[in-house]
Amino acid sequence: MENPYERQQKNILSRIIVNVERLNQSVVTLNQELANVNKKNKNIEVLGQICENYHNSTQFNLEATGNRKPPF
Amino acid sequence: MNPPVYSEQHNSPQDNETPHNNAAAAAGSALRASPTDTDDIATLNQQITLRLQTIDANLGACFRTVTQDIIPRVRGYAAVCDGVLDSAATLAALFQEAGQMQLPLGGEEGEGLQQDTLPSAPAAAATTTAPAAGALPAPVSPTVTSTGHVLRLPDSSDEEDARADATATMHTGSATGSVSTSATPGDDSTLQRASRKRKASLLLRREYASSSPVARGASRGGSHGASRDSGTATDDTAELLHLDG
Repeated sequence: MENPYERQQKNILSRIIVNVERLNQSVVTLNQELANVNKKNKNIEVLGQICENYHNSTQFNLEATGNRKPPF
Repeated sequence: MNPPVYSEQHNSPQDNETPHNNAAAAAGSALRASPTDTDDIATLNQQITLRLQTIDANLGACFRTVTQDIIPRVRGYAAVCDGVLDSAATLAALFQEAGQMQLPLGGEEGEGLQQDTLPSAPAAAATTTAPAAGALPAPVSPTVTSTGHVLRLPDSSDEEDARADATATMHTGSATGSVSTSATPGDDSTLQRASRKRKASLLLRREYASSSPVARGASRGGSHGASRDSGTATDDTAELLHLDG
């Protein structure tokens, strides 16, 4: 402890450790929020795929029966 | 093993002495060295301290940015996505009712929800429409007129059948076996279909001349329909117009 630099560096290192702990906690929270969002968005994506499949099926049906009209 | 330890212990004071002597000699040599070395050491220590401070500052900035900017924006995005899901729930209920299945909108794993690829969907639709066309000479969608106007029947199952076909092509593993029912309808559904086709033909006639002989024959009681099968569509429309007019 004679060297004052060592004392200062140890103080800074302890502050770095505290900051890293808080940053890690906040990143974990961010990851949880993003996981929730991703889980909810999967349902929306599934719904979009259902709508797209329905659209394709109806288009095919109309083309097969010959009732398909061009857009206005 | 004790003797070797004892021998090491014996040797250890000697070993301790020699490094101590070496350190003392080195310290002496350092002191005897020029003051520039100490200055260099001091500057290096200062640089180390400065770099550690910048590291600490950067980590603090990262923490503040993540906590104050990123997490609130992600929460706002999640709220907007919840609104989107609530708005889309009505459409999901529509498809649920049509396909008679359950969608996993609650975050739980769904039952029987499977996706079909695009090439298989038209192929499956073709296979489902082919037997339907073979079973009944009338077109697949008798409720749709040539002008594109969709006739709404009170208990029409044609739209639901079309929707069920569309959704059945998507759900191959449904418990109700909607695919099998669409390909081979049961007795009750055929009777219902026949009655609804009769209603559809009546509505079609009100719109314009129908070209489905079976529908016309079914509505007219069969006997008249057999005689009218030969190109009398215009006469029928004329009669209807006169009757309605």
